[in-house]
Amino acid sequence: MTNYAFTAKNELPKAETGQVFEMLNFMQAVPNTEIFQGVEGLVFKKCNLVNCKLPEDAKVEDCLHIQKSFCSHVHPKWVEKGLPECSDNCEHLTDTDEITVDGELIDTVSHYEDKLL
Amino acid sequence: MTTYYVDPAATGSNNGTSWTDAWTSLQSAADTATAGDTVYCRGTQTLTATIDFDTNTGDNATNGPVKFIGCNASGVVDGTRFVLDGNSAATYCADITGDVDYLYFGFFEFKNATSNGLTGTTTYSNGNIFIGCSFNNNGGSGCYTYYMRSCVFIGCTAYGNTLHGFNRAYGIIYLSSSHDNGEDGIDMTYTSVPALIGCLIYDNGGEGIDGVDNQSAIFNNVIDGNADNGISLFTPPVCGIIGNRITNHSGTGDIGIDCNSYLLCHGWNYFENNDGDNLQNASLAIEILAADGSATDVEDQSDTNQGYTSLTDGSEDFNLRSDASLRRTAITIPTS
Repeated sequence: MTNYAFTAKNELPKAETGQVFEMLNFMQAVPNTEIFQGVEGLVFKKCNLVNCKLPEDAKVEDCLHIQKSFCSHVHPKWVEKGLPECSDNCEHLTDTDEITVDGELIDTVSHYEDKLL
Repeated sequence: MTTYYVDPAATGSNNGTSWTDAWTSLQSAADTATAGDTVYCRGTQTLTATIDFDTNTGDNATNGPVKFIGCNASGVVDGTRFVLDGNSAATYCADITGDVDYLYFGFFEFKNATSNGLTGTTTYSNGNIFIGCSFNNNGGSGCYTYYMRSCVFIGCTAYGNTLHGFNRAYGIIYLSSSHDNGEDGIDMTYTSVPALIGCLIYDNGGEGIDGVDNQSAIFNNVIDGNADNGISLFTPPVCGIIGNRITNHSGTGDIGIDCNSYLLCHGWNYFENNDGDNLQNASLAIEILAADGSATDVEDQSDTNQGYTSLTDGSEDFNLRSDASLRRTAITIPTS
């Protein structure tokens, strides 16, 4: 297995027509990130394809292939790997806890979750 | 103490009493089996929903664990795994959240779930055991065991997961591997007295081992080529990091062991080709002396051997070889 997680397009392995990729991690930070566009007949087996947009004719066998909106509040280290920085009230906000003392609001704790698309 | 059977391809009366009449879903077994029972499972179950163990309380030590054991196509236990395939649809392959104690999973594969392969959170549980299991290509962590105290993993592997391989590993991980995950190989944050012994942790997108917590024992592991630091400490008090090979860390984090201002006891480690120092940021680093009584200063140094040698012949020590493929295969630890 080789780990190509977060790998930018130009750092992915060179693909040829009909190539079979097996047991590789291609996960990306941003949904529908295009990989290997324009290469025909690719086959992916037992790969992590989270947030990958593959060529239309690619075959996917026994892979995880989902689109997920990741939150930079949950994954702050991923910002340097290409995940856009979220605002405080982003779509991933699930709940807030207001902390009050003697009726006075002193802090608000926000809870965030990644979203399956 | 009853024996049950699960086979998704079974076509009999599906009451779980034999291979012919096996249940076709592990959920039936999770809902039925009690302390001391054994459930043999074969084949692949393609999931549309999580297998939920919330009605299974496991047991205490009196009647033994509830055992779920994978078999080959002939129904023989030979290391062949029973596969729970999340099929990019189930949130988890299995959820053992709740007061679930002493479940035993032998030779199971948890894969392709949209979140964690196996998850167990919220309520403390004790003594769950995983032997020869694989957690791979899941949309969260391979195995998430927050609040699961004293869980044991032996001969397991976690790879290709989106987040961590093993997350909140609250127990013992022995002779297992974690590699090619999107984040850390093993996250030990908020765990107490965990032990990590004889494992291979390599090529992960985060740190090799992160969040080394209270009184952790990190012994005789290979930690190689992870994107961030080899090992990061999380909280005091002292932990022991002894006899590990910590190599080839570069990029964002590039330190062999980042102590984050905490203290540790260390010795007999081998450091090579980490872009940063062997060991940094320790409030106190207590070194175990080498066999000849000498000490080797590793703090703020690079490429240091603290006395890590083969017990027999250094030239044959897989941990000291430069070829990564040899290092990773010279001992029998599952990597797939």
